[in-house]
Amino acid sequence: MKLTDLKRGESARIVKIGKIGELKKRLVDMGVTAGEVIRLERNAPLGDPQEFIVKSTNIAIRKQDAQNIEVEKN
Amino acid sequence: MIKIAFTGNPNVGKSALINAIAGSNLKVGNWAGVTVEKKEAEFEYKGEKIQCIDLPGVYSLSPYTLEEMITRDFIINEKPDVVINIVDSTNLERNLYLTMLLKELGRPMIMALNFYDEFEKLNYKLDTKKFEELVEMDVVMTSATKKTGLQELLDRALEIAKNKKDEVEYTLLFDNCLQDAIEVVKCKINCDETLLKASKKFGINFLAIKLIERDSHLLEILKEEYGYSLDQEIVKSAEQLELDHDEDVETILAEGRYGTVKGILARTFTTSMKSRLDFTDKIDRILLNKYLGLPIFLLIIVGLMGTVFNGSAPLIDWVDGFVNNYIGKYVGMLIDENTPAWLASLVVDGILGGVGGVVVFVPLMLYLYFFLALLEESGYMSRVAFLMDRIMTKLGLNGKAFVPMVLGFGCTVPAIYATRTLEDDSSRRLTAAMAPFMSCGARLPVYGLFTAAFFGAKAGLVVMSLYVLGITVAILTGLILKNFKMFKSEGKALLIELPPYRVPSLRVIVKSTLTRTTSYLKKATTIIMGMLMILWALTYFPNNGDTANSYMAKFGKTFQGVLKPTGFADRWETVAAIPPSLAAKEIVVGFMAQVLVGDNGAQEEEEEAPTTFFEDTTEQVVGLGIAIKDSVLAVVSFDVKGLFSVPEASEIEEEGNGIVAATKMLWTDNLAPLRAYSFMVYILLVVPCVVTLGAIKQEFGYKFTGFIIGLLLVVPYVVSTLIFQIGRLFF
Repeated sequence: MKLTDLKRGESARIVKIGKIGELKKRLVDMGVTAGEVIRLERNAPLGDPQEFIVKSTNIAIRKQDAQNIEVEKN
Repeated sequence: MIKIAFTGNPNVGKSALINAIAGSNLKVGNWAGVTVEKKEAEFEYKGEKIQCIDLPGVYSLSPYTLEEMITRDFIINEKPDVVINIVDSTNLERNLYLTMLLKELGRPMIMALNFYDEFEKLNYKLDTKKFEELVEMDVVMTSATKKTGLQELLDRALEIAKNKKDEVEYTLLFDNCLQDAIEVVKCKINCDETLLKASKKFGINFLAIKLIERDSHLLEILKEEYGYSLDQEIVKSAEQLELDHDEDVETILAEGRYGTVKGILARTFTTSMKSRLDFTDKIDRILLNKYLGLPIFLLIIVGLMGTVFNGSAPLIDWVDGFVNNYIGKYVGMLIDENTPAWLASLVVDGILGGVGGVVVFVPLMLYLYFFLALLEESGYMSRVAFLMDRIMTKLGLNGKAFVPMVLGFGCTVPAIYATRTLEDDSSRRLTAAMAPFMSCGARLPVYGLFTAAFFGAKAGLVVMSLYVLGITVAILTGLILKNFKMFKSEGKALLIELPPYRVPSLRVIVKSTLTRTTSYLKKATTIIMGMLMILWALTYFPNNGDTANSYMAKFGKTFQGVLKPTGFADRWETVAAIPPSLAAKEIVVGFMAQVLVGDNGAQEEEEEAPTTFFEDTTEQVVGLGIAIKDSVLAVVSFDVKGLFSVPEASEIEEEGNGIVAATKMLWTDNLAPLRAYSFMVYILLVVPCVVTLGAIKQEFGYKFTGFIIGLLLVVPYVVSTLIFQIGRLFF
């Protein structure tokens, strides 16, 4: 499933980060790598971007990018 | 001299730490050619001259972002004697990743485990001895707020620096198949003369890894400086790695580093059930709430504007009076009958006026930087981007660009400086190009005069329409400009870290406020003073103070023809008022008073009763006291309406006798209100004041400033013309 399919408060394991150019490198540098658990914390009040927690770090990315991250539920 | 470089992730308390260590020696500048802040300090400690360089906060050392490039190139090229690696001890796993990358560069290093007080509060435990062994460097616990560990950090850093190790070869702990691939490349480097030479500069580990990664930035340098192009064998082994892992090499290596970090932590670190995010989560539930988030954000912005602009207003008035009435009076006394009139005018109106023009902004800057630092240090600033991103993407900007725009309503100068909070240059430029269209406070007196003269009771509505027009033009300009290469920031995906909220230390905020304000003062003086002097000369010569016959008046008469379509140019006075408006927009009012009414207003002031130096000084001190009190009251009262209120006609009358009446006589035909409106629009949209131009030049260079000037000459011309030509069809 896609990262954007998560509901608020749900967690999943990252399977693969697809081709999102430079953003992938930046995400990987922040610890968003395959095998990590990622949790959807909340959507921004206007729906986009979304806030996630990985490795006790809160990050926000836009939905169009989150769509390219594949995750699976445990 | 000992060179110490400070490096670490963003939000690890690096600025606070370096502030605590370097204190008042800290100087803020820019890295050559870019607007990334460069903080440096030089001081003596235990008989050694020490130079501290605060490198920009980064997550990695890739060549993708400006900040990362600066950090990486500095450590490679400048070879600091020791690198202080600052780590947020409450988020070790992610922070240690950068440590792994820094180790690859092979410089002598020491680690500062910052926020150690929070670490203890969370009941985390770390086996420091073993940890030091595994990360292969000294580790010092620090807390900038509690001031612990600072001395020890500096002492140990000095010790390491004095050992003068040129290169440290740390062990890389990757898994076997990765390790093997790196070893193969290392072998290659040792056998190849050119690569061996390059490894002296880059360190063998870094060079080997970058070769496997086929890092474009480094390969270019290798080709240019060493004439080396990538070996087919290396390419093959890299491709094999990618095939085996079904990932690109960069990601494989990154995952390898995280693996190493996990290994180290598993053997040394115990966490507790307490989470550092509990507190942050509770606050964010309100501040980022679906329904409350935006209203609260707007309240904070309104509060910020109210505080910054209303709070600084009494102090600005005081500084203005201090320079003009107090210093001006005593400088005036030095001028006797033998002084030529032009010199007297140059000193009093030109130089003093120029100094005044720069220093009146100091209280504003102090307030602004204080509250911006407060928002940044507390962690709210990155939430602004989160909240506003959806709206700002429409303009090709990200959410952070919202703050500078809003500040533009108070004053464009801080808006320009606030673009620093944006991460890429094209967004910075686009924001800076749009900010001048936000109607700033200095335009209000001009609106006041012309609405009083031509619109009477409808003044409020007219002014409101000018605000809306400014915003509309800004958005349209943004929509057009974002298609040009210089402003395009596409491909820059949004990735923001929302750091945990922290109670900021007052000392840190005050320090950063003062450093930034002094750097404004130092750099703002040159260009602004020069331009104000030129403007002074143009209104003074050739007839020694006779404004109506000055070069400026000639200018007005000459350019009347060009500006004809705008409707207001049938009077040369309005055209001639445009260049002086560059000094400050409100000067239009004074200029009108001079050319329309004559100089009799100024004469009256001379007749005041003589006062002694002591009386004058007491008056200034008392005035400062009152200004401070008023400032505090203004901050507490949250009067936002005051920001947008146009001065009353009676207030404007004080500027010069009968100026409203005289302005009324500018146009008497039935198109008069339309002409006046067109003129106000022109003043709203035209090139901003020199202080703003100075700020733009300082942040973006001469070329971009030239572009902005051009843009802000064309846009007002077009808009004013459209308004007049379309408007006249209805009259």
